[in-house]
Amino acid sequence: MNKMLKGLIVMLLAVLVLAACGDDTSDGGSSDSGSGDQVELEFFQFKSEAVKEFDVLIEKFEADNPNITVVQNNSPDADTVLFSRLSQNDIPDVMTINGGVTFGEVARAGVLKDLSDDALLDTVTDEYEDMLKRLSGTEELYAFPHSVNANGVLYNKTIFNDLGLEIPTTWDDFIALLDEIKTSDVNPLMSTYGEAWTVLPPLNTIASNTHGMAFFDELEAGNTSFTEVYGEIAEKVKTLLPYAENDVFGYDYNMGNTAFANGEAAMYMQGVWALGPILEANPDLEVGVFPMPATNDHNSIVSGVDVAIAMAKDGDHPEEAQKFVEFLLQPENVEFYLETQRMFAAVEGAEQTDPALEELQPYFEEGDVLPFSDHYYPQGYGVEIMFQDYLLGGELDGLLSEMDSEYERLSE
Amino acid sequence: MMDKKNTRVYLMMVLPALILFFSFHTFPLMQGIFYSFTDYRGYGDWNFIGIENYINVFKDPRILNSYQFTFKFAIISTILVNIISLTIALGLNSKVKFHKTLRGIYFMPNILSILIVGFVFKFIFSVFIPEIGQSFGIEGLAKSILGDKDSAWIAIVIVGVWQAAALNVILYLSGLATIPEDLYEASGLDGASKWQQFRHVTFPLIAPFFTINMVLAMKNFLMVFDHVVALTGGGPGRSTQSISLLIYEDGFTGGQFALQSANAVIYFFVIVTISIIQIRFLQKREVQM
Repeated sequence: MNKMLKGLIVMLLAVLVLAACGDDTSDGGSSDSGSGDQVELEFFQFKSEAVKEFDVLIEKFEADNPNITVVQNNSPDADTVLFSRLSQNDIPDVMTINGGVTFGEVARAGVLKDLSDDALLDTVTDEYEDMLKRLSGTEELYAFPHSVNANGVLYNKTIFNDLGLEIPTTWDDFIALLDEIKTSDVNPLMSTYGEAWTVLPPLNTIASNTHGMAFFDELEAGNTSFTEVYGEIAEKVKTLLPYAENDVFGYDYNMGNTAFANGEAAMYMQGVWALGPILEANPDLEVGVFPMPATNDHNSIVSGVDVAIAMAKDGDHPEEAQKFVEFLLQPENVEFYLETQRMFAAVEGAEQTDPALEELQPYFEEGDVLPFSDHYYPQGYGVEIMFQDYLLGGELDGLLSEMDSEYERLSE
Repeated sequence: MMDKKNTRVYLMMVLPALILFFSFHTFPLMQGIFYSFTDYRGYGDWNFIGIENYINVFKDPRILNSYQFTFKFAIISTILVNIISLTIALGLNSKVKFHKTLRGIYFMPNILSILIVGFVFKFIFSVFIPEIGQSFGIEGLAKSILGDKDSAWIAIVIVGVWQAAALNVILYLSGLATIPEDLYEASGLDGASKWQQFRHVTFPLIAPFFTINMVLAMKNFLMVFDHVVALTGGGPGRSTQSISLLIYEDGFTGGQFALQSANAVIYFFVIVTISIIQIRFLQKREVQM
């Protein structure tokens, strides 16, 4: 009996050891390193709507490089998957990351290759390089910006023509326009705040244009607070609320897209990413996007890195990975991606030619862009939920003090 | 002395399950407890920080808010599920027509995935019912209840109860099957009404099943997750953010792995304590046949 017990303990210990080793030995898709000429690269790709496009590009790449196989790995909830793989030190060879809070965290974790001196950077737009550095809070650059998105006001061109409306350029014009549409039987604005993050496009545009990026440095230095700066911003977001005549908190993003596609509202404050699902729901919709006039001064477009491409620091196949990344960043390949993705290029020489986006293109040519404010709040801040609460009848004082206290709690 | 050969056979039967259980359940649990004493973010470097996380759990307004919602939801749902499933079980136990088919139908919700059910109900709450409300001019139904901070939790109770009642019906049915028919005959001869029969014969005899149903339902509802994800995602605001959802969201994507591990450890003890109290209290009322 004693022997049995001993055997059992040994088995359990073995399991423990195995479980611990498992963390280090697993290396995802990039197995059989070194054996033979064939190299397999894992390409972790977070956008489910771009799987097909990347498959076409991979096929093209593999035709040019017969000794390299690229396996695209797209999983739902990619952020969480990436974080949990980081915790096991299981880093994909090449990965795309959204240029948001996640990127900052991953970059700071010290698992990505430093790209600061890479020759490829010559072709990359400087604004976005800076944006990624600001996100990681480092001097070094840990990913190449590939394509960028933009916030704006999507508008129904048919309704604008029928009512004889003009595109506003200042906040006051915007409110006047909303008042004018309100007198007709058209819903001026589609809002879908039942899904909390959809409050971010208007919020980010107003916030970034109001306080600029210097606010975050001042905030970190303790020279300012949300209470001082965000009162005006919050009130503007609330001013827009009554202009949405749909069931704002009962609608989610998908319902909003479908309803807007069916002509149920004149305008829709969203990002350019919503054009895809909208035109899928109604391919005949005449839709355009104009920059949201957040202030009465000059307004910049709020734009962020939609897809950034990073490589593992200690990957098994650094040369092949580099080759693949160079391929993805070639202007013709970026342009191929932009054809279906309705984003803008972060690489010189590639242009977005979609007529729905023509009003935004000049801003990108002049580099008249500001980053998303919500990318610079602490991780897990949940600003969208605080604002959803506020818009559902919360007090302004409550919102501002929560923003300050949560900032303090989370940034330590 | 036990037969040595037999012991080995039994051990062979138990060991695989034990190893699997240990490596995929007990070991991660111990890891979680371990990390709750560190400042681990889910990846990267970490340091021991003692019980700081446990102190911070009580200072975090989000955690306190999620406890409030979860307990309100769990208590109300547990009571409703037990009332409804006992009623259905009594009905199905009588000799109604098609009672075997009906049993099958009433068990259906249990075999459906909560996420799928949740998405179907989401459509009902946010599209179907508001449309009915609008076309008949009923003010109260014209807006989605999922969009209202004061009523969104009701939607989750409805889905939770609808889904959970199925299993409890089966458990109550098996309880009712253990009651000998002659007890009803005897009490009927003594002039007991249907209600008196239920009150003094049926209910005391299925008390053990009542206990297990109360405990299981309460435990499951305290860990509510899928329903919330499918219906509201914790919103509007944080009005339906359950403890499990908060642990998942803030722990994995919010970079507060260690804090939420501490929260999970505390929550584990809360659930264990509640279950033990329930069992103690309810078992006292059970009668032995």
